[in-house]
Amino acid sequence: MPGHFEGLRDRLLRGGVAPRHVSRYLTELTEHLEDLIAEEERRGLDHETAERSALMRLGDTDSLAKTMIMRKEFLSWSHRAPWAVFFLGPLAALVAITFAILVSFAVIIAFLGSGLARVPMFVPAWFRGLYAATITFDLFLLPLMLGWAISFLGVRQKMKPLWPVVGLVVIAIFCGLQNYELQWSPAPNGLDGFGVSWPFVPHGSRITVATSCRALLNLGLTVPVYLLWRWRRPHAE
Amino acid sequence: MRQRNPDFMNGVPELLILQLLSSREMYGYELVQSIRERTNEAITLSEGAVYPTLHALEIEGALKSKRKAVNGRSRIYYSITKDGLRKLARIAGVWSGVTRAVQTVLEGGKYARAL
Repeated sequence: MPGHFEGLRDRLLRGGVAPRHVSRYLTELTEHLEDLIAEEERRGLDHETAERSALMRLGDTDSLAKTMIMRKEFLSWSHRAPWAVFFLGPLAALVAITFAILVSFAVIIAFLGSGLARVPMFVPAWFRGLYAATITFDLFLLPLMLGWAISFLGVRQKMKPLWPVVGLVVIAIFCGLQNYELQWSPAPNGLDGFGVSWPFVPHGSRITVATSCRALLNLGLTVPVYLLWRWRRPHAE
Repeated sequence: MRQRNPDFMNGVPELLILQLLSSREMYGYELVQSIRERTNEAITLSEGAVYPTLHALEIEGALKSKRKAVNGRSRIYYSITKDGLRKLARIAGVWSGVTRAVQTVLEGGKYARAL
């Protein structure tokens, strides 16, 4: 039974209908089809003829797809505003996470260290480990997680590749060129300052070999994965 | 083959669905069959096309749905909400006005010919 609506699923997703609406629609159509087949069989038709007749009564793929696609309330945000979902959204998430990391550093120094008022600021001994782990996450794992999330959305929604690729490139470059600056003081566990900068903001950090390599690594681990995933997905259906 | 949902039927499926659900909850197949029976097959909705209308009414808040198992079959049942009842009263009023107006024109035409 599920095979009857695979073509319709494809049409709806390509037409921009949100996956949750597609799933609900197909579930109800499948149940409706079962009822129609049972009704036709009660009239004395054999199963094959009953199924053909039931499918005709239900409507052809084209009309079933059109009635959903023409209603704006069923369209996904990635179809209505792809620039927001694949470009602004991930960028805003990245900025928010980076900001949250800096705020949490400040809170740790304020409440568990010597406070932010005087330099050097003294931090707990475990701060170095936490800092290293957080920066590793932010510089290496976060861009991949965001990139794969973009890829997942793009493939699930059967999007044209333009906006997902734009999003992946922006995230790869933005994360790759990001530079955390932590100035340790000669005093034990002393910190002179901390912050984050990018080459494209006024007085920002410079583009170095390391940051360029990071950006290229992010690109290499996200864009080809997306394109491969996208290429394989239609063949699997 | 009978023509389904001609142009002047815009808004009629919503009206019929809300009216039928105002008496009791139903699932999609049941609704389509009820519409067909209650209108003596004068109105036959495309069976699959009833779901976008149901889903849109649910998003609007006029209907609510829940999955229920009855006689060993699990189905999504729809019931009308207070907002749905208000919407039904509004569109039923509009529809009555339109049918009265059309009837007046048709009767006027008949009388004009008699003269």
